[in-house]
Amino acid sequence: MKTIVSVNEISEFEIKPRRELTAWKEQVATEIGERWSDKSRWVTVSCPVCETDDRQHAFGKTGFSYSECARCKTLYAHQRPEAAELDWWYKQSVSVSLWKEKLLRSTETSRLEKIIEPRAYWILDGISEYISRQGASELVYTDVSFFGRALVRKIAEDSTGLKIISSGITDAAAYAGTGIESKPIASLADISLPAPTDILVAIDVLERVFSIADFFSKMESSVNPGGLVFATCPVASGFEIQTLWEQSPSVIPPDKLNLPTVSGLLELFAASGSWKVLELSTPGMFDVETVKQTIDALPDKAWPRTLLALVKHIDNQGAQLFTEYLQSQRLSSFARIVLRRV
Amino acid sequence: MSAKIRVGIVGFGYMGEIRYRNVTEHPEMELVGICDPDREAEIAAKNIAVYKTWKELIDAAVDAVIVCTPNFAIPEIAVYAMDHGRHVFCEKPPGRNYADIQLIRAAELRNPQVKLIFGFNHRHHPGITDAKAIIESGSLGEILTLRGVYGKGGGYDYHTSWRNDERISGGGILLDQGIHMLDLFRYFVGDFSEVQGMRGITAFDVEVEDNAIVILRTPQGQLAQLHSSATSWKHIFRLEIGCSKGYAIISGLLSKTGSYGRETLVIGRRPARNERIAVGNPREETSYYDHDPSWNIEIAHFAECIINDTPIEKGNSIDALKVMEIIDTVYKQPIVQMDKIQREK
Repeated sequence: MKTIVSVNEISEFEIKPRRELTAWKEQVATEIGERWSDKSRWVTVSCPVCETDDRQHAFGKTGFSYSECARCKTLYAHQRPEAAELDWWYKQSVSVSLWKEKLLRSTETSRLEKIIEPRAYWILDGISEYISRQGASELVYTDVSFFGRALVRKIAEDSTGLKIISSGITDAAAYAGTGIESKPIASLADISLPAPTDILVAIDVLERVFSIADFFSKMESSVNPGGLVFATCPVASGFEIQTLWEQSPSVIPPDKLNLPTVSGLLELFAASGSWKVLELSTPGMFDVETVKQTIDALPDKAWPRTLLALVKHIDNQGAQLFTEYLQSQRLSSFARIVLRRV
Repeated sequence: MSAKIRVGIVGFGYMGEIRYRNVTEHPEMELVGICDPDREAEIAAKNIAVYKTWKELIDAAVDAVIVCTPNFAIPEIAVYAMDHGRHVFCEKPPGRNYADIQLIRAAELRNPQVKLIFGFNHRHHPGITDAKAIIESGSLGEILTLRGVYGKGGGYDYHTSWRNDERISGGGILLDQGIHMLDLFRYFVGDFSEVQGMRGITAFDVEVEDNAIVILRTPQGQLAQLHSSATSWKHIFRLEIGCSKGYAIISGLLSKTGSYGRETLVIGRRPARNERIAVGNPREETSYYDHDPSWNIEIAHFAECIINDTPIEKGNSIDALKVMEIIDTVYKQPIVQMDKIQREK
């Protein structure tokens, strides 16, 4: 298993401009309040990673209550809307529309350069590293990511020998003239692939599913032996989440309902016996910047002196070195995973 | 051949112990015995059959022999083993000089049924295999340049090591350690048509080089440069591969002591014309590795080729011959002692 450190000159505001981000967060809060003031039909879930029910209340956020699993320390909303409601949110809510039409569109160029291209390299390099293509026929590549259209298009542009199927719940529109097949998954309640695949890409999926353990269990029969899974998710074991906890601006329901820990994920994959972990890294680049901004935004809060010394009083170079340290120790709050189906 | 490949090991030093572990861990191999007159007690303590001479071991019912001896002994043992129908795994370097590898190669050609492999394990280090796969995918473009530094710090008794006794070793740091980097150069770009080198004795009272610089060019014009050194003081391994669309840098090397630092692979990409990244400061991604499978992969490759009767693909006699040809070219240059230069000034 390898760990990745990613150095990229990027500020969070390049992909999430402050004004649009604030407007979107306000819309999320308003829409949650309007749509889900009645929680009587919400469902209760076990820990999405280790599936135990032993948990402790962590904090409340925008109408959702987050708990910490007593066993694997996953941070998750143990009560949440039922699948049909979440499907509606991800496909039809004003918040998601705002995200796609305003935020994604206004940052399209930066996202392509700083997020989509590196992610495409990660996946294509990974395929080159881990799958022998000698004499191989076309590989089936299935993407179940949320808001994954730009990545799917980039992969299609830059690759050869892949049969690309876009199955993301949020990406139902056809890809005219691209050769990409569109076979979207209908509901969060049943994430099953249209056909067996050699490569499964699941960006921003694990934080939204009802059970991460169940997701990978289902994928055991969908990913061909020797096939690969590329996935990302936020992790509660990261510096930003651990430091800011209830103040973390990254914990935004219902987009981030599950925040597993690095050790919890490793235990999950080890226990299953069906997956070999080729990479589990935390190349998140915004932990230090986010903590610094939150400290600045809440100056009256009694932040630990060590935290101020480590984060607030360092220059840009120091912040970059600190970010690299966090990444090298898998202590950043955004994880990426490469698995091989054994 | 019996159900398992019956293996004998000649030499039970640092490499012999590694190969002993590799063989015992391989499900298709069975260790018959070890020969090392200097370490018989240690071998016996492990409940392994001790052979008094390497000929006795080879003449015993073995299918394959792993040769982990000092350089001077390699050709005789390897040739004898192949001429007696044994598959042979030779540690690097493949003898003391070009003549030695030619003898070994001739024995292989006389005995086409045997498999002959050389221990160029660096090809199987994870940083190297990942870099190779990424470069072969074309995402970094064509290889333009290679720059390698492989160095160690010789100790105060460096001059007493057999590795620096020319009659035993045949050469100095270039043959002992730099050979790995030259093999990696060939692994990435193939054969070189031009080779120039300098070697010197700079710090130690030895008769072989403690530093060597080699520059090379392929028929396609790709350039390569190696500095092989015993006076780095800090153990260092660094291979920079410059490509038309980016670069790969492998540095550090997973080893038993960790003295070469954590093995990493840096991939950087030349910014596209429309990107706003500052020129000269591209996005980089660094992979950190925590497991060295190289020794086991080599043995597994050897076993697989024996079982399936397929050719050795990595570390074969052509690889050994070609890399020794480069070293032979460098060794034709006079060796210069630093003191002498200073005196002449």
